[in-house]
Amino acid sequence: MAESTETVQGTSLWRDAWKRLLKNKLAVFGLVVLIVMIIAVTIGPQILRMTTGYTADYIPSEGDLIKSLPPSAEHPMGTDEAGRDLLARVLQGGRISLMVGIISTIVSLIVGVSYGAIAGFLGGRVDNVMMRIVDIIYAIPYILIVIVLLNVFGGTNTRTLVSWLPQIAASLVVIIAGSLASVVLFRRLFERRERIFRGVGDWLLRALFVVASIAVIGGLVYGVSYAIAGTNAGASLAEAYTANVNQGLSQIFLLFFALGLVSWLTMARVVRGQILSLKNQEFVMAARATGVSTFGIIFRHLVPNALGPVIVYATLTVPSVMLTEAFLSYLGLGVQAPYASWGSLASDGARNIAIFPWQLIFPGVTMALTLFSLNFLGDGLRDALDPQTRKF
Amino acid sequence: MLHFILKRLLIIIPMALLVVTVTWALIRVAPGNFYSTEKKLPAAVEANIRKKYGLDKPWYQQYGIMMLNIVKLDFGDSVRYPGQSVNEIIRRHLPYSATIGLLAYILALIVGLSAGIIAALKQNTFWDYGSMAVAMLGLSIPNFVLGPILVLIFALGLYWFPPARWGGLSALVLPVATLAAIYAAYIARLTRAGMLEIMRSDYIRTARAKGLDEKTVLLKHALRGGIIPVVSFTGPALAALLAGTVVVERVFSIPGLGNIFIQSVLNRDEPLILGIVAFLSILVMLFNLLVDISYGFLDPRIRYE
Repeated sequence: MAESTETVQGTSLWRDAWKRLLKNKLAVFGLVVLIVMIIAVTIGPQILRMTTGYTADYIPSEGDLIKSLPPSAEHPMGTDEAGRDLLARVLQGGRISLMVGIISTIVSLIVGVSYGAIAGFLGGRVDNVMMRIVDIIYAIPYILIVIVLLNVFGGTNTRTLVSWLPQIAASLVVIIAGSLASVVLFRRLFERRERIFRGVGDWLLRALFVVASIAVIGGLVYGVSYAIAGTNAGASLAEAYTANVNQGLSQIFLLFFALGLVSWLTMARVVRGQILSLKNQEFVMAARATGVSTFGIIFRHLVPNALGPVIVYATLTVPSVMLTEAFLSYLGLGVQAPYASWGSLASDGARNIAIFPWQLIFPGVTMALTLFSLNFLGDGLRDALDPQTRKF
Repeated sequence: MLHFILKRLLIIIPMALLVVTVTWALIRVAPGNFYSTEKKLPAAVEANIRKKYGLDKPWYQQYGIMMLNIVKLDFGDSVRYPGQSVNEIIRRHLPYSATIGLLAYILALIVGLSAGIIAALKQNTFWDYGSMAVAMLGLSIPNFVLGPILVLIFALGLYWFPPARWGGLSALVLPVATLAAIYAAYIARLTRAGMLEIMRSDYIRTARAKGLDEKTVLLKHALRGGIIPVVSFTGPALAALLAGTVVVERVFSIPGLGNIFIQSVLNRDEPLILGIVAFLSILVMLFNLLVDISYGFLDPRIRYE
């Protein structure tokens, strides 16, 4: 008996959503196009090299003065200014465009979800301050932040950044866990009805608590990062990085971070709103009344319910990040030669639109088709996972 | 209501100053200078430059001086274009961006609202799917792809409009259309969702029940509530349109503010960056305030104390 209810309950939410998604023809279209696109950019370049011999960076040594050839049987998408096969470049560029979209979205997910969840979970004054910070970052043009990030960590500074990565990760974990613990403890100690001290004594105690917790968190951060640095993880990481990564790739890695770090704001708002509204709902109260532990409530009730909007928003972040990357490449700040992305290919093509229109049209259309599919998939997922707010 | 407006107006000032402070800190954190080039400057020249721009003072003094000047609305001279004040540069380039931005938003409103309303009224028909697919297409084509393609077809192919430059109404058509596409798509989607939600609400059923004809129900009752999401979108969108038109400005060689801003960031022209950021953040907050005020007129249930 208990077993059968368990299976029904466990599968119904996601299976239901999947069924609803399959009914949505446009979302299925998007999913199919996306799968085809991912397969094409993954194995396409190899197949092309084996069948025609063209690669993304193959420049023919002889030939006509004008190297830009229109589409033909040999070059289905024509060639670019240097005579490189455009199909090979579009396939290769797709790898980078999709990777930028996915990895930056993961970065924005990590930052946005933890930030939003903490703000929503703690609520009150902490939430207020954290959300005002988001408002202020919103008001700064993101292009400025991206350029500064690329500037600060570009060139030789990337190596330093990489060697710091273990420390940064350790500090983040300690800071998040430490501040959560200290705020929860603070609440337990001071925000009860019966206070230990009143008036000045209470304030003194509060100040002491804040100072002490800052000292403890600082000490923990220092200790943990020192322990990790002591094992030379950072140094060996940096060593491996410089040995394996060249300037162009380094720029692409930076782009992942920079784009992720400017696109977490909306995600944080979505998650915070979700947690805030879930926290006070009757089913949570009911669970609490029936004796489910706090841990159980968080993982059995809050997380699965907040997951839907997060997945939906993440799917919609991928195309928007890809558009931003294309925009940066158009400004000459994104992916640098010899690497290419759909954005950089299209912006190269945009300059030659009057004479060699195929150099814009093929990468542009490929990119638009992918974004189109991603957007439809995101819409379909929203309808499927979030029946209450679905767009009918 | 008056109290609410005054409070919001007063909050704009500290918020803008905070934004400027964070921006300033961001610029200062980045390595390099506006005067540093490939070649290393002689130490004496560098010292002179630093003295002239007050960079030899400690950072808190520089920050204080900058903030005092900004409170007086004096952003100083651009360091890249000596002798031109930031205020003057903004005043000179804003009209171009404002013209195409406003025209594009009006066009986007007309196209987006009508497409959204038609899609909502004929829900789940060919019109609905067709207009939503076109809207999605509008959201998926980067404007530096759309712009050149429009130029290729309408300027170089059909000779209907000039391909670039400023001057005359016909020169405005292509940039405005390029810029409007993505906003029209957004507005169409927001309108459709908003209308569908409102059409199912109780007060629409009441309006129908008391015998009003369909036209009145639709235009007087449903539309007012249905376009609230569009109104919320208008604040940030208008501000973005007034400045974020870089791509269109580049494609059509228009001397607007967006391009100036990108250039100033690339040149690390600190006074100009701060001036434009302050201007934009105030603009966004003002538009958002206007949007909040207009909610009260659109939906009588929304009240502010």
